[in-house]
Amino acid sequence: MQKVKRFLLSRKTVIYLICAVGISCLAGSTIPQITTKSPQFFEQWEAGSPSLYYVIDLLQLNQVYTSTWFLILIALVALSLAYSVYYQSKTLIKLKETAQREITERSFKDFLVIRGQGSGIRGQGSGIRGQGSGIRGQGSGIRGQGSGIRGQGSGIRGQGSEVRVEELARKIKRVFKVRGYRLYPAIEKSRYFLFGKNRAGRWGGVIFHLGLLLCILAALYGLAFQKRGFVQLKQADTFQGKNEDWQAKSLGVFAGNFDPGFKVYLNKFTPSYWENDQIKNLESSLTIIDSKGEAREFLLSPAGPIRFKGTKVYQAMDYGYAIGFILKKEGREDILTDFLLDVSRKKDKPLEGKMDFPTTDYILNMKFYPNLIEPSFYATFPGVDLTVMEKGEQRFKGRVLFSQRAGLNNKDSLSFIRICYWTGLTFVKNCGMPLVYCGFALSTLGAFLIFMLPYKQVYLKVTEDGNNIQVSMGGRSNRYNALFSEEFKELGENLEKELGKHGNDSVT
Amino acid sequence: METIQLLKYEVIFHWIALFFYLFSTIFFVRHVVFKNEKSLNVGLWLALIGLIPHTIALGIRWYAVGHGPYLQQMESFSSTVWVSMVIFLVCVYKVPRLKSLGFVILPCCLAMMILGIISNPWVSDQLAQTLDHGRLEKGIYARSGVAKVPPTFCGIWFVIHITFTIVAVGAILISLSTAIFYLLKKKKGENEFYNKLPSLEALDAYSYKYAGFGFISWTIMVVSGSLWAEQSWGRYWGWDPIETWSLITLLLFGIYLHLRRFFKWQGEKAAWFIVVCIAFAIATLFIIPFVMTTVHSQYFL
Repeated sequence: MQKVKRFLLSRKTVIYLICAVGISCLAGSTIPQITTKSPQFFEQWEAGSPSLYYVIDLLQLNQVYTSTWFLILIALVALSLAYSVYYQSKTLIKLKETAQREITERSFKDFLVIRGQGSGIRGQGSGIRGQGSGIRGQGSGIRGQGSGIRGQGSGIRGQGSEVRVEELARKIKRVFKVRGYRLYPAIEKSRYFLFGKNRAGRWGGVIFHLGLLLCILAALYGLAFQKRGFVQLKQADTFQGKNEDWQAKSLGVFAGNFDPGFKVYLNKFTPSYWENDQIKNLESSLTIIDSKGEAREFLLSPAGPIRFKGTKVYQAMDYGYAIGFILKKEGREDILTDFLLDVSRKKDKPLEGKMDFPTTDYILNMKFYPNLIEPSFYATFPGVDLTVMEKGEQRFKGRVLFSQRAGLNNKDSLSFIRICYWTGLTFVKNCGMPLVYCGFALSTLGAFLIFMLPYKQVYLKVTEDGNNIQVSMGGRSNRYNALFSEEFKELGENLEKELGKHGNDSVT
Repeated sequence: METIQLLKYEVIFHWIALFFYLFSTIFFVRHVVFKNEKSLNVGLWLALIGLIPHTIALGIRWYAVGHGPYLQQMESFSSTVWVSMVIFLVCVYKVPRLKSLGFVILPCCLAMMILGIISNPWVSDQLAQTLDHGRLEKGIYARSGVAKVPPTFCGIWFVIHITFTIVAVGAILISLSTAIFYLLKKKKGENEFYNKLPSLEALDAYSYKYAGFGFISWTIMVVSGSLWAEQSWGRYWGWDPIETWSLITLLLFGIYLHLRRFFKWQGEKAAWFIVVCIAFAIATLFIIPFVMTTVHSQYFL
């Protein structure tokens, strides 16, 4: 267990895991995937280069994101993140406890490990002489810089020791407060000061990694339990809400069936367009009937999905016209069939489709014009250019207007009797979404805390040497040390000025 | 005023801004190549003045087409340049020693501006007509229409997604330029010109800081894009090429930040690594939509 823990927390492992995920994504986006290409594409590929295809298929490189090795990789990342979050939190809680305790002479000495490097502050004419000292903080790679400020002079001399130190402390606090530093309350009354800035920044890493962990868990949950279905619904048609009624569905490994538990009736579908033929909006007027038979009206659009009984219904961008024909065949009952044609992106182009007429040998090749007089998306003067084939022989070719009949050269006839809109609706049930939202929020917050609020600490020690008071200063930051060193220098200078002012004010 | 007339003015102001940026670039190059101190401030002022016609051009565009400058190629390029310039100028205002970064940022902005103007449907229409001696059919809507907002382009997540995409580009450009100046300063050694720049450590830290800022913006871009997709299509992640490449870029930034933190990658190594990260970011935003079939390419018209 310890070995596993060490492996997952190892810095090298973390880098390798990120690299592995990145390379997998690169493979997934460059190698054709089963989810994005047709089966024919892969058949052709296999026929063209069987050995290459064999390797790709064996390594599941044609289905990277659902492959076993990718899922194992993601599980490893999740474990590593979980361990990392746990140990980072533990360390930070310990640190907080330490910071709450009063700093002793010993702990301060521990902090001031290295002396003699870093920027010294030398006062000019203000009675303050600087001493330089570099400070290397404890903990990984956090380097601080230090400077000593030696108070000298008449302003401090001649007062009682405690009063002098308290006065000094007040001045010091003022300098740090202006720069956004706050004093740790537990040590305020001592001669040791610990100032902190952006304390929340320390938690950035934990929050960011926790966010990522939640996102991964949500994705794994979705892979296991998500239910997603797509239906094409004609106007005045009802989706019965049964698992077998989906045109297409994608279910998680353990999702079972997808029965939304309610029926959906499409009252009306209304597309609207901009003047340059682009789609402006799609709107479906739906009646949803629950299992008890209660009906509710909804308006659905791409910008406003509907939530009903834990299932979200989305307006798909697929829509078009459903054109209905009745086939009159000698000696048989009339057959009514609707053909769903995808809408054209340009209004001067017809809606095209080639489909079998069910239960017959007829194949219909259609070019549907919503308006034969002038280009339009709206069916104001509709007609269809129809070619009917049967076993390779052409039975009819010509234009059929709405409500007209086309004879098929063999006593059969087709009547164009119905036009209405159809639209696609997507149903999604994913209980993991709150987890996704939490994960996203935490990752964003964490990234902000890490990079925008770097944690900074400045330590001060006030010592008396006869009539002199010496203030030693050290600091560290968990990010951008070079920039912190500049800020540290400015803080030192400000402190120098403030103490100089103190001196001048007190000279009496 | 008619839309066509407004779009004409918009193009004129874009050209004016482009010329300011062009001259600004020349002065920045002169400053760095010939070590000319005076050129630095001239270049900076030209960039600042160029921002005025640029702002007017974007304002006119916004008013004329009825949506923000994010839908068409030229709108995306133009608004990206505008935001990058603002970030650069704010950065210079806060840290005046970073003025020289204009040497990298201005040429990048200029290139994007040129691409934007060339891809402006109105300009390409006019160019085609000029080349074809007016034989092509006239009319701005005839072949080069203004893109209108599709029904899914709405909601707060969409706005955040677009905004942070542009901000991310601005941030990583600053990071790139500090990294390049780090490499230049390191190569040329200590001399009077480079001493006016921040120290090597500070340049490295600025590069790190702006890479961090870029990382945050990129994260917000990915997150808000996912939430927008969830609201529009009912799925927050679909392994669309742009989504995947955004993730790859994010992971690459993640590697960079971990290497800096854990393996003490600083200085030259880090500077080269950030250049690679930025190359991936640029490929994700400006190359992938054109070479791969993605849901983004139909919107990045």
